[in-house]
Amino acid sequence: MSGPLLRAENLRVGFPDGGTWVYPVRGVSFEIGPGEIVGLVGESGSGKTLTALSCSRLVGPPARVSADALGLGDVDLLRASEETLRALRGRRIAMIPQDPLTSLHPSLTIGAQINDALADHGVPRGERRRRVLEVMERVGLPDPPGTLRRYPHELSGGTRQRAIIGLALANAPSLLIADEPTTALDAMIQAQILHLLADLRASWQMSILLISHNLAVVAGVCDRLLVMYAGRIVESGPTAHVLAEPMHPYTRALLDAVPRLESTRRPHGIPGAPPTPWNRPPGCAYHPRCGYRVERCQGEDPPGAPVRPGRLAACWVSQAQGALPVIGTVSPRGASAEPAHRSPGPTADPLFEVTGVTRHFTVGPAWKREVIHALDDVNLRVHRGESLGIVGESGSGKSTLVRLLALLDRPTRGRISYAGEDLAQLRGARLLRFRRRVQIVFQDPYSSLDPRYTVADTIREALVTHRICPPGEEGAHIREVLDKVGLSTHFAGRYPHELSGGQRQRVCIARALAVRPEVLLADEPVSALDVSIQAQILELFEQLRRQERLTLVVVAHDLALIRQVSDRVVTLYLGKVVEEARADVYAVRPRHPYTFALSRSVPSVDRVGELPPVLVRAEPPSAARPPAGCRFHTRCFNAQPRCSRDEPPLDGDDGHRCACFYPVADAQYASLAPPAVDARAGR
Amino acid sequence: MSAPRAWLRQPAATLVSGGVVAATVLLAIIGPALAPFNPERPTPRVLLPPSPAHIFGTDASGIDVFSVTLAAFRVDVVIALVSVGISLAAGVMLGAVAGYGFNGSRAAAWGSAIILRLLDLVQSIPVFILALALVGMFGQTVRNVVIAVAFVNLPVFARLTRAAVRSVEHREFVAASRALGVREAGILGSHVLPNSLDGTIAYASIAVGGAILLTAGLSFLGAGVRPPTPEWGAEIASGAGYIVTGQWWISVLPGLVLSGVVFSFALLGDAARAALERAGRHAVLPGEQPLTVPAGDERAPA
Repeated sequence: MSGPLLRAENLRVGFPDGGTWVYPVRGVSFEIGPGEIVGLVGESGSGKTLTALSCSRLVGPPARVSADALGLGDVDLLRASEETLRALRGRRIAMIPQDPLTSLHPSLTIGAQINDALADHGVPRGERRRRVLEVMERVGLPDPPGTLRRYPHELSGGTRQRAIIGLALANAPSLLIADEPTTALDAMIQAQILHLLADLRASWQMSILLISHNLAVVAGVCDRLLVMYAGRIVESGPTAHVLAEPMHPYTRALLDAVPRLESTRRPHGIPGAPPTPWNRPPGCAYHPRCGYRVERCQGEDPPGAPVRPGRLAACWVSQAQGALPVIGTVSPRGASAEPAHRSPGPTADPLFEVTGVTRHFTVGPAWKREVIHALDDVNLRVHRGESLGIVGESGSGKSTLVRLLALLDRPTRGRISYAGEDLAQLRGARLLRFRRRVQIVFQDPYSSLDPRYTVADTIREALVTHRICPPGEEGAHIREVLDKVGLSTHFAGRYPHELSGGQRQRVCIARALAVRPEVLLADEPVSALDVSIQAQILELFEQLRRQERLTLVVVAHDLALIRQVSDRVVTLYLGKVVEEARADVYAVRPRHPYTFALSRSVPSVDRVGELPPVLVRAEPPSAARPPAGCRFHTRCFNAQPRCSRDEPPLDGDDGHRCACFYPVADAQYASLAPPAVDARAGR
Repeated sequence: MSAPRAWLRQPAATLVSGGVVAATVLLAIIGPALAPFNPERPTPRVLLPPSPAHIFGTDASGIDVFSVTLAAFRVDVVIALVSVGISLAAGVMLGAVAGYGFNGSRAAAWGSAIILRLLDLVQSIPVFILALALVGMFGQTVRNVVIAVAFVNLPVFARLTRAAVRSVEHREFVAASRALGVREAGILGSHVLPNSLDGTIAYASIAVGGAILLTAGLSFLGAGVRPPTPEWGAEIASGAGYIVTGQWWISVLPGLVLSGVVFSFALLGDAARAALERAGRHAVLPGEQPLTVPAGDERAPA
């Protein structure tokens, strides 16, 4: 077959809205060739998922899909009958949905689900078992015959995502649509999944449409990029060209928002939020957030037009000039290439002292009780004025540690003190004083605000609990604290469901700041947000740190992000501290093989066409049965017999401590994975 | 969107059941005044079939069945509403205490276990037998029927509330308030309970129907409110023996009214639950966004 596999021309998706129609997707045109991987990038609400769903005609009433052309090979998707479409789905076009945790049938085994997918497309019974095993082998599911008999809840997140991909691949489709397939996963698993997608293309000539809000994720694997904003494609072209020289200000802003491990340049958020289909501004939908806007942008919506060969951009500025002028090294709004700000700097004055802290959870019914080793003998200090990052995979115990610091949970053994006071002894007024001094921001801004409380009610609760101001005078304080987190006063009366994710997280930060704390604990504060919004929140943290003299403890699984906000970083693995060092050391010279692997698994926008290496296979062992000796030895590329016997102590001077007998040697840095140069730093 | 348009968009079943429930409550207030005949005084016009004068006919004592049916609204519906009100209030309180962990307090765990075992005990006795026994022990007064009906309904409300509290308790806004230093009782009252009541309140409507049925059932067996108080169950019982001899109207017509009322309360409860789920969908389920909603991150301000 020659020509494109999938072709969409002027695709529109509309929803009825009180007599009129709104169009979340309005005139999208693109093609995907056989064996091509195309990235579809944009913030939440830009219409990416709807575009993808329309390609397999999965957008049902009341929505209406229309297009000048929408074809898969020789099939006209717009006119195909429901029966034709059903035969097509899975067989020729398959989807990987967003959430690996809820996309599998919870009460069928993995094998049964793949088997069903095969049966639906008429694979004879005798052949199915062989095909199931074949599929599982191909997506790299561990121990295929064993996994066959398992239920989704028995598998880890990464394994589940592989199973979902297996399900999608069962009938060898020619087009795979992957909707944020790695967003819910840790960096190391993400790298493995990206490799899997690349392999599928290489060995199967499969075409893939990869959807993501993060340019770094698509940079390594996609041939071409489509950048989507407010229901339209604003820029398209070959990945390397788009990333090296973006032709649309939005693409450039997305690029500047990505945190980079190797660079000290701060990521810059995109100011504001993307418009909804109901309140799209006239003219170019992006102009209110754009630093390049000219008068024409407010009146006329620019059509997508070729700026260079193979490059389309919907921007008056780049169409007129043939390029976007470079203003500074980042987008003009972001202003300068300021080096990472490191004030007010740590002092020798420890606020938190964590001594020999162990936290075990007992789970399961009496006859198969298990002890989960969430934390084992952790020692740690948090100094006044510093910003401490805690990094690790899911299940490393990092959230448990933060909950212990926030006194939302108590250690099984060991002692935590704050400013010399043992947390276990705090009662009454002293406990309340501690609560005021230490505040916490949670991961999920959707669940950390009471849906029945307005923004003002939420902040007022903090003010009233700690008698911050005389009764009746909360209004002024609420306005002040909203202003600090960059929200205007009219948000005070809103309910959480009227706010975007980034705005909700700002409200959570405002609630914490309202009591004027000394320490702000943040548990994965941005992992539920778009990259563009993540950078905004990180900027806010940095600004608060300077202005409010806050001590920060930030937990995240993303090392690039941790590096941007922290002075000092602690790596946790299966409940143990394995390395502790200054943040800049982490980028260039981590010593522990685990931290090294973690740092190399971060995808980078500067490494186009190059995937992060998979240095560590498989997934962490269960915290119910941590391996003897060094807990990392089962996955370690440097492991020796001794590692499975003895436990390495956390050694080193105050600047850099590492718990490893065979740390990463100098020679290994070059051979295992050369760090990427920051290609854009010189400009 | 204006209120009348929202009303008109409801499915027909909701409108009809809502209408019947509204009429039922109205009749509980003015029903006895509308009765064309005295529903308590016997007359010689016994066992007359339905006619324009007596549209439901008359019973063996010569009492107008329609008048009894109308007057009984006050007895049955009031008993049901009051008893469900009591069991709702008490059940929510017990369920909240049994469900909420008070941040891992040991005393709360014991309290919860004791409450749950007591509820088990109540629920292990068949509802009807339990109500019969209660009325039998304490006497056949309206007050005791109310208490009996409230008592047998209480465990369901307590369990519903407990389940909801247990799921809301683990949401992060609870931990956020705890980290702020808000007292546990305050968190329970101001954050956890308000977010736990949707299902319980929707069930209350269904329970009113059930309570009417139970009240009538007790009277049917002669254990409910005492004759000659006009009451559906008693009237149905008084006509039961005549069905075989052809005087069907004494039992069947009040029975149909009873069924219609119970059914409407149940339908309305379902509609209420669906409406609460719709209203609370984006607010209650964390991070979930239905694919068919065209907005991604942000919603248009209402």
